[in-house]
Amino acid sequence: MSTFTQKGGFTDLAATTRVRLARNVRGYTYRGLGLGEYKEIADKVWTALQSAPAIASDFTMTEVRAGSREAAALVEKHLISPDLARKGGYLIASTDGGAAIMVGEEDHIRLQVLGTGLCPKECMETARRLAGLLESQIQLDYDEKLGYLTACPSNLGTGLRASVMLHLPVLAAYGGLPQMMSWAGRQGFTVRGAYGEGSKATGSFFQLSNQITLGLSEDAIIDKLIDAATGVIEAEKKAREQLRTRDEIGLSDKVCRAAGTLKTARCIDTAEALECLSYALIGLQMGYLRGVPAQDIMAAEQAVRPVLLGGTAGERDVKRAAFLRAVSEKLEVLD
Amino acid sequence: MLCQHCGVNEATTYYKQNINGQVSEMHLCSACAQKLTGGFGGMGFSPTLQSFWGDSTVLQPGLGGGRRCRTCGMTESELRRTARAGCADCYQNFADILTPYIHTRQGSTAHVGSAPAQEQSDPVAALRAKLGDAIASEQYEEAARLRDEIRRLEGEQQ
Ligand SMILES: [Zn+2]
Ligand SMILES: [Zn+2]
Repeated sequence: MSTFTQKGGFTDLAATTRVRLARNVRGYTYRGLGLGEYKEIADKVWTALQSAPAIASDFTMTEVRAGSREAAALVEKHLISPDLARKGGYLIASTDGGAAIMVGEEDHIRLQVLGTGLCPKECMETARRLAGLLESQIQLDYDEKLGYLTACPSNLGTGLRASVMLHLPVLAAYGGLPQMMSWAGRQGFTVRGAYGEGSKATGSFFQLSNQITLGLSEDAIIDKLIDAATGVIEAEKKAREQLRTRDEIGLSDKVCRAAGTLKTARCIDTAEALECLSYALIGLQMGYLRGVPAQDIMAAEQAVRPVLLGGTAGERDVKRAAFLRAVSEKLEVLD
Repeated sequence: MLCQHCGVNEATTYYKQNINGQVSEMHLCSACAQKLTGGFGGMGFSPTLQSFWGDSTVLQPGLGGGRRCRTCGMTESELRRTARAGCADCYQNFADILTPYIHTRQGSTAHVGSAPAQEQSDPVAALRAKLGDAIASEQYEEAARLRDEIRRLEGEQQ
């Protein structure tokens, strides 16, 4: 089995990297398609993958049933969009979840590659390889001037949306976000709360992604993303150091209490779990805690969400606490 | 409330933008609003604000118009309202509406970057990709060299 999930650096501040390419198949419109047409397109994608048997053997194709529980779980895992979960379509994904091709989004095909930490280059390389495989077998909507054609003009050209999920609790808590957002905006990037509107418990995760897809090459977009992400990471680190200077006791108190809660709680809701995990990440990065890799805490961030745990609310809180105790077993407070 | 761009002056102007259905807001002082909207000239490379202008003033969602894309059935008024193409041909059929919109939104209307293998035989396209990168990274000497090369090749092709 091959690994499609990429790995990168800055794991204590960058949770995940995602590269997504939008493509449309020639001969189909972008609206009013039914499941039958999406099945035809999914079959084309599947057949194209079979031309590279070594790669194809790692992929499985599943129907995403509109509004199903499985579809909701795929959304939580960032494998499909909420839109696809609602409408239904097809998902062709690698066994490790690192590479996924969604059929039936706003665009016929969305190919995405995921990684942990900051790894846009690595993700792009894999995405390019997979896209090349599809393109060698499937005629796509492409225009010499506008590039790859997409339903929304904001994806035209490269069809590339590259993003990094950043953990920015101190910038968020002390009002540094608007300034950082406008800085990112001037670089051609947007910053969004990771779990969108309507969900309060975001755990201070923000997604930085390119806004411009046309007139820049894939490599230029990726390089700019790395620069922008590094800039934001530096800003968060600086804000943390300022906080340490201002109120070291207050900060270390919160970090150490969070570690205690993670290691001992018997019943914990999502909001408190996310808050504690957030402080644990700060503690690991700032040298108050050690013993657990930051990416394990990042992964726990995802795993404690209700849809993935299942069961009733009460059962989930107990399950969540047990899971967190296991994750934080080796977490140590440094004096 | 302070201006979210400079963090110094009192915000006097409020902007809202909608990108792929994600709505975000910005409060600006008049100096920053001026700088962000006017200072970039017609190039439109201020995505934060230009996408706002793009949606509201370029597409003019209130306008009707009886045209219809023959391939997918998209009507002019629906296109203006949704800011979506219904098929590849919409980009031809509604070019007069979409081209200025793409320009304000993306700051460019010329693709640079990879192309499907079957389209790659064109050496000019490859050079254009490099030209875009050179301009983006402010390597103007390199850009001038590439531009000359493209002109030369295009001259040969004609
Ligand atoms: Zn200002
Ligand atoms: Zn059309």
